[in-house]
Amino acid sequence: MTMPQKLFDSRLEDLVTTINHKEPKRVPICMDAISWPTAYSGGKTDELVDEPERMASEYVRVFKDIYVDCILDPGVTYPIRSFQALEGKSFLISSDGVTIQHMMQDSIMKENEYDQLISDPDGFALNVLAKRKYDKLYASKEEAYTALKKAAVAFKKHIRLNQLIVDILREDFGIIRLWGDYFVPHPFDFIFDSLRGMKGALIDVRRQPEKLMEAIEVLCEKSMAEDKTNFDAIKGENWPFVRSGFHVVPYIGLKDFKKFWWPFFVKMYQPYIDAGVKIFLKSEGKSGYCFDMYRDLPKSSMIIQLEEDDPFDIHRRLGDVATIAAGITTNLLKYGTKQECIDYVKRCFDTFAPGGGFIFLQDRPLLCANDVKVDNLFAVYAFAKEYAKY
Amino acid sequence: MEDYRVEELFEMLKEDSSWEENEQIRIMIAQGLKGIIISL
Repeated sequence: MTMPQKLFDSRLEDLVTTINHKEPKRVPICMDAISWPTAYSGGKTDELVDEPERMASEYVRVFKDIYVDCILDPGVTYPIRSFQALEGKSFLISSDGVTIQHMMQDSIMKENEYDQLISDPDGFALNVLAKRKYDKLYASKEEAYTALKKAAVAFKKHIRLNQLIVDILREDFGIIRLWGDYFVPHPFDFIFDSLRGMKGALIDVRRQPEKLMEAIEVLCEKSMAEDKTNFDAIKGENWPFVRSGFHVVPYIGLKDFKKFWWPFFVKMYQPYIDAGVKIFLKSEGKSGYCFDMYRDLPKSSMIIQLEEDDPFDIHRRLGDVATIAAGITTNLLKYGTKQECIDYVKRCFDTFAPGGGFIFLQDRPLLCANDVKVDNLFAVYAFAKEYAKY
Repeated sequence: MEDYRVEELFEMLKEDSSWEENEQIRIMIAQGLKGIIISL
């Protein structure tokens, strides 16, 4: 067995132990980084993304310099060249040449179009809404097909690039990718993110709650019917995690959370919970009002990454049933001193590590070169590596 | 503007070996891209 494989196996054992609320040998040291590794190497996504081998080797360079056991979801998140081929308006590469920016929080779908969505979700999204988002799909059939073919070739390259990065991290560094390929998008997030936008979706909660509810129900059924996961084949496999997002939740209250969010979340994730697959919740914004609901799930079903909520408060409320993924904030890494960062990390380890149920992770993904002070980041990970031993 | 359904383009993509010879890969890429276009 190779050294990276041994490392991988021992890291996986620690990971599975802690997420089941038992003390591992070491706290897993994890990183949430998207495009920052490319920035660290001095590369530009815009220049490298067409050359998967070159981009992958630039991307992994930082892991020769910093100790990391696991990474949340490495690689290039969005297939930017496919979007460019279709002249999409939602994503662009920022002026730094590295970060892919999501531009749109817009109402692509009009307020009076719920019936169309409800009667034929895919047909409506593809034949009506996609033409509003992608200029080339609004062109002549021939021009649109030429663009789609180009987008498909770029998408194939995008998949290859991300697989290469994951493979190198595993085979050369023994680093674990936390997220699996399972994705169960919550219908309310889909409506909020991609159809009605923030303003439109929140107005719908007040003005047409019945239509919103009907759309969520239809999309939920569709999503479950289309989920091809073989639950028998993955039964008992705690890793990789199924991802769960949380976009609209900070903007609604507990009453609407209980009505529009929770029942569908439980319904869609129940087959994963029954199979023993753990849910990784990437919470966004400040959503503390809803976390007590998660006590209803079986113990050790979830790993929760906190963005603006206080991890010490959430740990008090939920730490005995869910794993807390926390330990350092990007704000502190950018604006704090080295000592302030280390003091915070130490406090997190001392509070969250006893009894298991803790993985070390930042609150937000690293995107741009200046998201953190690199000296702080390196000092924190060096400290965490030593302090991780039980 | 010519009236067509975007769905038709995806069906063409699945049949068209000019961009990818392997049928299984064509279907997988077309499905993935369709999902991305719907959701993003």
